[in-house]
Amino acid sequence: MQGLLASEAVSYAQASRFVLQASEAAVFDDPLQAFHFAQEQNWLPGRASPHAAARLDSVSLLLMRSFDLRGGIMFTLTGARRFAYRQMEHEGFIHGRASPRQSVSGETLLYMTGRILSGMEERLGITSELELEAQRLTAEREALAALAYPQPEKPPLVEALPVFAYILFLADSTAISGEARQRLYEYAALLRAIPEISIAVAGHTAFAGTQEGRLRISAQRAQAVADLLAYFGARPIGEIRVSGYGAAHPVADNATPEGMAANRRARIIILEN
Amino acid sequence: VKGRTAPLFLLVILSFLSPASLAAFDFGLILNQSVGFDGEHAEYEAALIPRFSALLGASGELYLSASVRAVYENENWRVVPELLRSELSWRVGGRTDIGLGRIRYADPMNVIASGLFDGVRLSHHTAGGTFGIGVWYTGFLYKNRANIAMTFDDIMSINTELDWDDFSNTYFASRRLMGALYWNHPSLAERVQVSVALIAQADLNDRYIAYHSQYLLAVITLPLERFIFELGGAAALAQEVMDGDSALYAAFAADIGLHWMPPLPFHSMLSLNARLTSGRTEGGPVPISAFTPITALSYGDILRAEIPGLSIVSLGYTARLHHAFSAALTAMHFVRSDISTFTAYPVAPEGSSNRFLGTEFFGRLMWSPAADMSMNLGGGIFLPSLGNVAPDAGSRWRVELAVTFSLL
Repeated sequence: MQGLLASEAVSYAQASRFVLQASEAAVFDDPLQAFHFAQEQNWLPGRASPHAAARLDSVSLLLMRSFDLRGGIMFTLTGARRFAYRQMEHEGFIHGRASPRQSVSGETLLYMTGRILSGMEERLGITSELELEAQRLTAEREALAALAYPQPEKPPLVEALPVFAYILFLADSTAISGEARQRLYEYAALLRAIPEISIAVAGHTAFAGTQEGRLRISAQRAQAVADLLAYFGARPIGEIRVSGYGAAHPVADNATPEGMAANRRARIIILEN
Repeated sequence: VKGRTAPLFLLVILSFLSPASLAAFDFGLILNQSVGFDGEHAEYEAALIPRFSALLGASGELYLSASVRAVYENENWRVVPELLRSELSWRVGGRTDIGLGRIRYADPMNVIASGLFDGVRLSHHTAGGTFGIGVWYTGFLYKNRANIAMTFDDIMSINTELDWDDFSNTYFASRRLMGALYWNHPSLAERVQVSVALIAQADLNDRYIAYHSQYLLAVITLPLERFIFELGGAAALAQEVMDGDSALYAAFAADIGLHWMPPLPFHSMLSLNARLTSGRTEGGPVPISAFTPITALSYGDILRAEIPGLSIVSLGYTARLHHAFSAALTAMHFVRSDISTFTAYPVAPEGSSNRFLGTEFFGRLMWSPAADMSMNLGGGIFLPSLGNVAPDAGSRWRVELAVTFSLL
């Protein structure tokens, strides 16, 4: 997992193993076996090589097929990876500057997989409500636990988690946006799969207003994130440490609106046990 | 000049391309079809829109798109090819964005200039907001899309049928050079969004009457809980040059908007908007004229009325009932800003000084059953009887359906 996430360009074999496991379509210890399985199912292009960098449209096809997702009209008619990419784009699972032919980083692969998993859970929730709630939670735990396949030497996922660890806020606000709530929901699900680690939340502000105000808002931002993580079942509220640092630790230039926006954040920190 | 510009633009684009950058490219093809019927006339339009995009390094992008439209209207077919957004854009030093080509621009009030224009635009982001400058030329645009109708000659040119034997004189929009200086701040005092722009256009048409104009406008937006307040104002100074003489006019426009997002289980918004523009009045050191924008946007799905000489008050409700299904309902009341500029339906009787033209009600249903297909069904009625300009003019209604497929 850690190697995958550090990768700037995941291979077809790495992507196959990860996606098949997350979707519970098949579980393989050997990435090569996973690759050959996916290729036999026509979930990967026939010309793909296991160690070559996976293309974004091919990974989209692999995700669509592995999770058995319904595509658009052209995808239904042709099954082509181009239209799988379009579907991912339409659903908002691909963000930022992107092209179907570009390679896929480990971070992108985890992001796309996480969005699909949480989308499936939402759909389950709509149809089942209370009766299937317990079943949904069980399925969710199992699916997300599959993301963290065993790595005996190191604790799983720990280095992966900060990928989703920043929550941004509007100026002078402690409100968590709908998109950020979605990310926290996914993040909480990942955290539930690894109960052995401890977490803390640190709140920050841009350099504006008074020192007292900055400290107050930064602590409130951290508390808001911690409350939501607890609500989503990541940890009991009493087990999440909360700190507010004001504008003392900027990550971007406070001289620009973009920099100030980046500094208005709360970060979830993984504590080494 | 027109013949030389296109190859030059392509040369500039190609100089930025490399085999590595072309590795991350994408292309697509969209088919748009729409039909409309108002009881007397039927319209049909089919448009094929190919596009190509390529990522250039870490901060650049090339985007090319065009369309070929077949239009059936007034019992005639016409085919219109058009270059759409075609832009080379890149970010320099993390703070400066540059766009070159046929690029999109809209003024902060969306009342003076809005659409695609040929030129260059530069935006620089600082702690004090984003500062920008743009320079564009309108003479290569397709006249019916650009809809530059500042003078009688402009309107006559738009109304002239496209003639392939006289393509250069019947395809292109009015030739004008347009420049904009703008500043916007997303959260001044951590609360208010502010946009200010200074826009000028110079008439490059070699006609008997030349019409030049400058505009200064400002918009503030204040979000407050479930409400968004908007306030905008524009002042214009226009110069009409004819046979060596020139005359100056002043004109004004103002926007007031109030939006409310009610606490409902689905996303919805109720909006009240007013767009007020000056009409022609005599007297004073500088005569006040009807507010004349560079691009004439149409208002109303049935009336399709255009400023100048028009003010509009509208109440709208939009609801996203499902992630693939949304609905909108709008009531729009039209008011003449003066008694002489607006001359379209409903036509005022000679000597009438009444101002209220009537109200249009229009509803839309938008459905995206799949990622590559969307449908838009609309229908409504315009009632001049709810005004006093021509209450007996007879109502007009319209239904329309648009379907979009993404083929590639």
